[in-house]
Amino acid sequence: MNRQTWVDLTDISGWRGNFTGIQRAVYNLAYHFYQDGEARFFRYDEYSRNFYIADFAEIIRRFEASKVQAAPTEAVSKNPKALAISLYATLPNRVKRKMPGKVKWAAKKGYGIARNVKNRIGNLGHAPTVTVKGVKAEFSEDDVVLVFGNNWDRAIFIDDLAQQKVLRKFKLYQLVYDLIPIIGPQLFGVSLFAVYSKYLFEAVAASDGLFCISRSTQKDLEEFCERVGLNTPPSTVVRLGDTLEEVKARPVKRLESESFILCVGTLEIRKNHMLLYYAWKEAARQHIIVPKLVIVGKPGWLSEGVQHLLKHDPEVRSGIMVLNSVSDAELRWLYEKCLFSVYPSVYEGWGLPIAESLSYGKFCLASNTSSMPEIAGDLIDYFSPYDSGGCLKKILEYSQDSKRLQQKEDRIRRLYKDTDWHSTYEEVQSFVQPLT
Amino acid sequence: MTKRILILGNYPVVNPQHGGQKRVEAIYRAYKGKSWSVMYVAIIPSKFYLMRGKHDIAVSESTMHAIEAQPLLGDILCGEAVYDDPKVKSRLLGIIMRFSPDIIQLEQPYIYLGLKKLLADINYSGKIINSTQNIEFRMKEDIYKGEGMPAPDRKRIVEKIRALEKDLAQDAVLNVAVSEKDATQLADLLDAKNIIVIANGMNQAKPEPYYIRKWKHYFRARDVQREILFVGSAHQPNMTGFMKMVGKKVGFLPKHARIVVVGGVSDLIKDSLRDEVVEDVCMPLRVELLGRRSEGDLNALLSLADTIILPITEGGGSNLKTAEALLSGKRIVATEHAFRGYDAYRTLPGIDITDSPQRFREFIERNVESSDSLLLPRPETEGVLWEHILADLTERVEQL
Repeated sequence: MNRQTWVDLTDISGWRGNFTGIQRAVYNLAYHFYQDGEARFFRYDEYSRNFYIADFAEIIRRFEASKVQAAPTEAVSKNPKALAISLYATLPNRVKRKMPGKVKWAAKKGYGIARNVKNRIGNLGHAPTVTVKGVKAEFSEDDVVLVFGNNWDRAIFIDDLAQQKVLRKFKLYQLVYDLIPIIGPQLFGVSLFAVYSKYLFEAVAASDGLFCISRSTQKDLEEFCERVGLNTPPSTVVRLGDTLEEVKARPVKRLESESFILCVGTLEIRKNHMLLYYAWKEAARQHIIVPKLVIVGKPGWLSEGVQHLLKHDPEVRSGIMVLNSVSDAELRWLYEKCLFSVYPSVYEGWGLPIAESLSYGKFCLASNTSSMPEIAGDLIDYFSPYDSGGCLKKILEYSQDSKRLQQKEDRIRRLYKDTDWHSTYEEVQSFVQPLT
Repeated sequence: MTKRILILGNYPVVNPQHGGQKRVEAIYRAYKGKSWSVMYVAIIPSKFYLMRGKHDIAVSESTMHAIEAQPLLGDILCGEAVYDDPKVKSRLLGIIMRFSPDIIQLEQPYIYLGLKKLLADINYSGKIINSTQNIEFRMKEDIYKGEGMPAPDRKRIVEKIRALEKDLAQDAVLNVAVSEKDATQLADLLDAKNIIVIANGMNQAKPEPYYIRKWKHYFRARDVQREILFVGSAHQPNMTGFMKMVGKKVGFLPKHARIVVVGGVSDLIKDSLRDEVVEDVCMPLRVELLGRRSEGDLNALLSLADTIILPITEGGGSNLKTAEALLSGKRIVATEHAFRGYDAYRTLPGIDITDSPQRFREFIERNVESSDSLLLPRPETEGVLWEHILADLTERVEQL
């Protein structure tokens, strides 16, 4: 019997805009399965409660188009030709085929009617789901179904997949990113604890194998299973790819002449920006000069308090800058230009900004909890995410001792190896194959 | 020879729900079946029972206040009310005088707290039957401990109950025990004589098609293919036993299986679940807490169940559920305690008995995974029908 590998694209097939961290993982892993030519792709439709064949080629095209569109946003918006080309690139093939020749021509050549094109196609970010219409995914006995996304917000996804598994008898493998809503419910909205717990319970119960993105997550998973009486299926730790996007650095003009420390991560309570606020506040009270702190991240869960403090505290607001939205090109520049990065998160499943910082050859000061020490071991320094004094001490150590910082960076450049997504793909394959 | 029997208890038997009510109702019917004059009177806290028999006596408002202030002592306060609560005393006295019973049978000992004095006042010369369902002082000690009653109070009250049970056992011309174990304890701990063991029994259940359809639909809609049934009243030991033998770690069950909990114990379990505890949040994914249900629902659920579990580890209780389970022909997973009174049936096929929680869960898991859900006819278990069980009792009472 031929064993078919299926990859779930539910998390990314209807997405608009830039991918989040998990979506990038889904995309990159799916991309390597797509390249090996053996896998098929599916997505779940929660309205019809069916699993449909999904078109990954269409997702690739859309992703590439979004990069074209996102890269030099300012330049494109001022250049009708570039705008027209990027708009045209975002259109699905079936739409392109149906476009009047005049519009096609205009879009391709980038003449003055580009703005009309934009008006005609409406909201760019509204992406239709990439389902091969009407074709259901027919799983068979011994097929391998891989779920790399995190579908907790689609409560019935796992119910229906588990039901299919009972009927079709395929093997199910899922990627577990973290159990933070269960371990640290205080870091999220009230209802997430129950929703996430129930989702994970059924996801684990239905799985033949689980990938965890860190040993910390694997340990948390084992403890969860013990608490709820689940037998833990075989599990392994896979290291997610952290290679950088190949984009040209673009300066953030306001910071060109500044020396700064960088903190990348959604502005949410779990990321613990409050600790940095206290550290910078304490420095201000003691008249200690610290470099500017640049926080890059969109506002997220329960962050109103810290946003308010950062914006309105007269002692701190000139020392901390918050950038809610930066492009990949700007992010590259920020990493390249910063003195070092700081990551005070309370708890992580992995901690991608630490790996990113190291990939840019930049030293990082990070929290000493959960998965974070796994990323770079003794290449970087750690502090307790509950100790703002300890954090400030480390920040002063490295911002005032450039020689020591240089030694750290040299060591990182010599010893840190980033992980490409192909390695992650191979780790997934080497776990699944012996089990099936 | 005809008899006039007054049965006194702590709860009404109209529309009987829990095992104790069913047992009393069956005894009442068995005596009636002998063409004896029988009257049942319950002394009850007025607010706790909305459905009452026409002779039942609700305590006065002041006694009710006392019970509400000390709910753990409700049985004792009702018993004392027989003499100390003027309303109860006068009504019960009126009944005794009018009915003039030649036998007074007490279901549970508490009524005897006040009744003994009342009977002395009127120089009652009839006979007393002590019909027990538990060794109460032992059971109450566990309950009081579980509820955190201070040790000196607990000791004093438990001693009071023990003395009451001993007094009644010795005054009674016949002591009725529910199991051999209880009979031994009645003799050893309470110096009882003339003991007869009358296990709990049941009526032959006939599930109605309407209810069968209703529950089949319910489980199909939830994609449930295996049902493990637990029926229990809101009696704390039922909850304690379930938590010990099954617990909240229900991940050992596959997605298509459910433990279906019916009766007041379901509410006790539900009340214990906390929104911020992960095993509590996940428990309802494998456990259906159906609450109190009608007899029609219960019969249908019994008939649809693949396995019936009896995770009873302590307390007395009527053990009626064991009789129901035996007669259903379904697989049974039970504790030793749950099988007290039914030792003769423990080796029949499809019955697993263990006191190890791990083994208990393994038996459930094995039954769920088993591809067949055949009925296991157990003709020998027809002995658990009330009509068989109570023949011994009526015969002994006839001789009194």
